[in-house]
Amino acid sequence: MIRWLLRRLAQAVATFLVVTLLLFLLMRVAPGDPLARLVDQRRVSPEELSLLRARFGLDQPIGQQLGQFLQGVSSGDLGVSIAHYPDQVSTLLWTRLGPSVLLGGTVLLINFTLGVWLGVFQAERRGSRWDRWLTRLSLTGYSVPSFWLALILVAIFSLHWHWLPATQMTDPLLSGSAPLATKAIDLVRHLILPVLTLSLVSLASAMRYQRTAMLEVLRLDFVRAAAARGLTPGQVRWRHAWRNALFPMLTLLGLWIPFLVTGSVFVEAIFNWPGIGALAAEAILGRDYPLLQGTAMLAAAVVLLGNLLADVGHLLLDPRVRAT
Amino acid sequence: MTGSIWSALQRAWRDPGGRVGIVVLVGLVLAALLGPFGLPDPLAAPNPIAGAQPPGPDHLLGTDPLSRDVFARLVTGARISLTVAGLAVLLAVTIGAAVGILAGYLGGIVDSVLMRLVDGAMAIPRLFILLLLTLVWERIPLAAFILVIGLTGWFGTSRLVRGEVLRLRSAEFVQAAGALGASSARVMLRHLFPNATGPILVAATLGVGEVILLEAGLSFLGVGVQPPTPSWGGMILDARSVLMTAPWAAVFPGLAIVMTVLAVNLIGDALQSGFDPRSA
Amino acid sequence: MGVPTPPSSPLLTVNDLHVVFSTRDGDVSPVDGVSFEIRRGETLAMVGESGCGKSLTCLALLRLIPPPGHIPPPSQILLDGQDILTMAPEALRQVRGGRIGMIFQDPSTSLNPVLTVGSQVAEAIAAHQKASKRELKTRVITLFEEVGLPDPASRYGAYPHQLSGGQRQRVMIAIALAAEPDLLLADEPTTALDVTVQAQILELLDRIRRARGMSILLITHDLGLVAGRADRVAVMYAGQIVEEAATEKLFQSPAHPYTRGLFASIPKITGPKQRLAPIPGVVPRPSRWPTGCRFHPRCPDVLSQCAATAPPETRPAANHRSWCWLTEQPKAP
Repeated sequence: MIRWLLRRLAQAVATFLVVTLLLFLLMRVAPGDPLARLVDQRRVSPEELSLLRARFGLDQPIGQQLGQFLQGVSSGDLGVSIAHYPDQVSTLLWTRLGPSVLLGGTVLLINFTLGVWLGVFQAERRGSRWDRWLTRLSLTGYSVPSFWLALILVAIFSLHWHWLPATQMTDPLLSGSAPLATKAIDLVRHLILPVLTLSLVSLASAMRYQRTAMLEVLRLDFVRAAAARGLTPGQVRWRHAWRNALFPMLTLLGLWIPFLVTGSVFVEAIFNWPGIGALAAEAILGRDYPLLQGTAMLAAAVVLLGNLLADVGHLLLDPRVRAT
Repeated sequence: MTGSIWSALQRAWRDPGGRVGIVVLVGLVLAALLGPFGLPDPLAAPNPIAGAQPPGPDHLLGTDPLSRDVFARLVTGARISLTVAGLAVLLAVTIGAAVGILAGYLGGIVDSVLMRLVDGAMAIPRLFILLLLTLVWERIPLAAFILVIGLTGWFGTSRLVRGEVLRLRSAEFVQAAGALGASSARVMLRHLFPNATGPILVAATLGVGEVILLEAGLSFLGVGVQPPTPSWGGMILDARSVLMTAPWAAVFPGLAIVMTVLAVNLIGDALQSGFDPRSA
Repeated sequence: MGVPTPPSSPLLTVNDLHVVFSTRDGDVSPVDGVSFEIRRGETLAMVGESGCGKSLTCLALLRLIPPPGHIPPPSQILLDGQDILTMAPEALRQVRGGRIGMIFQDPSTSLNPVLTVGSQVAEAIAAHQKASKRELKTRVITLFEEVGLPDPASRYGAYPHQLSGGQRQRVMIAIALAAEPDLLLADEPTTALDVTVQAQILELLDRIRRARGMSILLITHDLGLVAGRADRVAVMYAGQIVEEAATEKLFQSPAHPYTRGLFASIPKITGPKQRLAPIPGVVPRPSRWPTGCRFHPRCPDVLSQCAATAPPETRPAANHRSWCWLTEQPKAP
């Protein structure tokens, strides 16, 4: 088991190396070099340009650049932002992590409670009117562009009815000495619209995943056997059926963990949510290649971490896997 | 292969949801093809000072802040969206199938290297790869945009096809064909490909929906289809500033996206349950 | 066995049981008017080829028919006079596993793979009786001893995949016995097991029945398993019972051609090797059951009226029922 874990860890590290290599190459496919575009926009003098080149290590042979890049990444140095010069990319990412985790975490919590519950509900009523309508509804949610939904919700709930704030995570006018409850309510009010947007467009996959997984399990013999021994419907549903329909959800959770960190570029940008997604959107506007690259790298790292966590979860929850 | 696509479509048609999807999609394609005839010029701004006008007899769905006809732009946008999605997915599926067959059939070091690269590429969220690539251009040309989307969309397909190839390679009839002296290429094309059509078709269909959303998103961020070419995402971006005064300019392009993606997903869903009845 | 049991009120009475599946092409009833009774302490064997509806009959007794199947009136399943079909959910739950235990064909799929076998027996007890965790564990281990699981204490924390097929079926039996039921439904309990294990499991069931004074409904496709184990046998064909008699009587003088066909297809371990004579053809699907006597297309002794009219119940002897035109009038000796 330990050996298996170590092997998975080694695989993840190897994959991350490939990611680093790919991202490095991606930067290189740009015609000219990354600074050329910066120069276009900001009229940097030739002297400054060569200084910058040296600063970014662009005056060195490509092999050496790759070496430095890898060295930087391994020590957590993702380079310097262009738009936020001279801030470190890693520092910027770190300061924006909290809000993204808050937003993404809330959405994941909803998807994995409401989504799971709805998926189980549907599977138990397979083919019923409820099932059909929920399937249509979730398929629709799945087809809605998040940025458009965000705008529509803002138009309705903020601009038209003035019920909820449209941007930011906290009210800037709220004094720092306000009571904790007031601050908490303020935060929740700011959370509602972005969470609603992201949940509406992503709840569908949780539902569909859970429905399919549960359908697979419900036709297995042991579910009927559990009912035959006189367990309550709740025990049959959750302890027996769902406990076995959990594994695909674990995989999905692994796929969604990156969402905690990167949030959503579109939704964070529209709501001006001070997270990493909005940072990426700013990087696009500012043509900030290092920042965008650092964000991508962080996202990839968390993707791999998510996969790894899903595997470990599988290991802990499934005795059959544990045995191998 | 065309035969299996045809029978897959028939299966999708039998599913009520799939039928709705097919009807809507065919309607959209027709509109995109015939649209330019009899509609106002989507680029013409007859009365820029007037700004956005509400829906009326002159402009069925109103005009955008630059007084361009929303309906005409929607129809042209459909053409752009469907072209981008269709070509990009075609490219992605072709590359994915080629890489998958190559890796699965050759095996060994080629397989290992290709699959490690795919692992790495799949770990980076597609949006970020796309953002990094589109930023290479100051204003990305449409052809390059299609290319970029296609080049970032084949990883999953290649894995799928590789798995299918590995499964089929051990199947008896391929070995039998090999024993009869058929060349490897012949074996691959005549036997493997038709058998892998099903999963590829499902992946491609769902891929079209994903690409339409991605294209809209990137255009909304300003790094996709470049103005003045109309695109649904770009139209929403233009209308953002007049959200309250001219909601029609933002609402209709969004509805167009939802309708199109939903139609595609309905078809994909119907195809999938056709191939695997248990998932229905 | 062999000694005629004194007549007493039956434990379970099934009257005109139907199981109907509503499909797009109309309703089909794979169980179509089945009536029988199970007396206290006896083993009733229900025999028939696969597809004859015997397993569905068994599931119907606990209302475990999966949708879109349902049990329409006038079906009745009376347990001590109370109709299981009209019971409220909580009363039904108490019957399931409480008064009627059930074991299934394939023990490897009937146990939850992610829960320990001990906890699955414990929950079966806890579903019907109040007991502390400690008590539960002791009782589970006692049950494991009773069903002959080796090293019972250490098996408590084992997962199903760590046990052999026979051991898993012993666990299933422990679960079925957990709440001391009056009736055990055994749906092909040995079909999925090795031949050597089969005998052991059947032996175990018989021993427990005698020790506990329990009744058993043994569902099987193998008439060979029935001899010496069941008090009475009911033979099912195409959703209906075609013959029912005390085991000895059935073995000595089977009345229905179908039953005789089943006997001809039992492999004999002793005696000279002979060709098996399986009944030609297969059980028709419920949607295309023949008119009249449903066995007539396969029957070697078919009469002219068989295709037109279903045969009435006949009594070739006391405690012997048969539904066949041949037995309508007792044959001349």
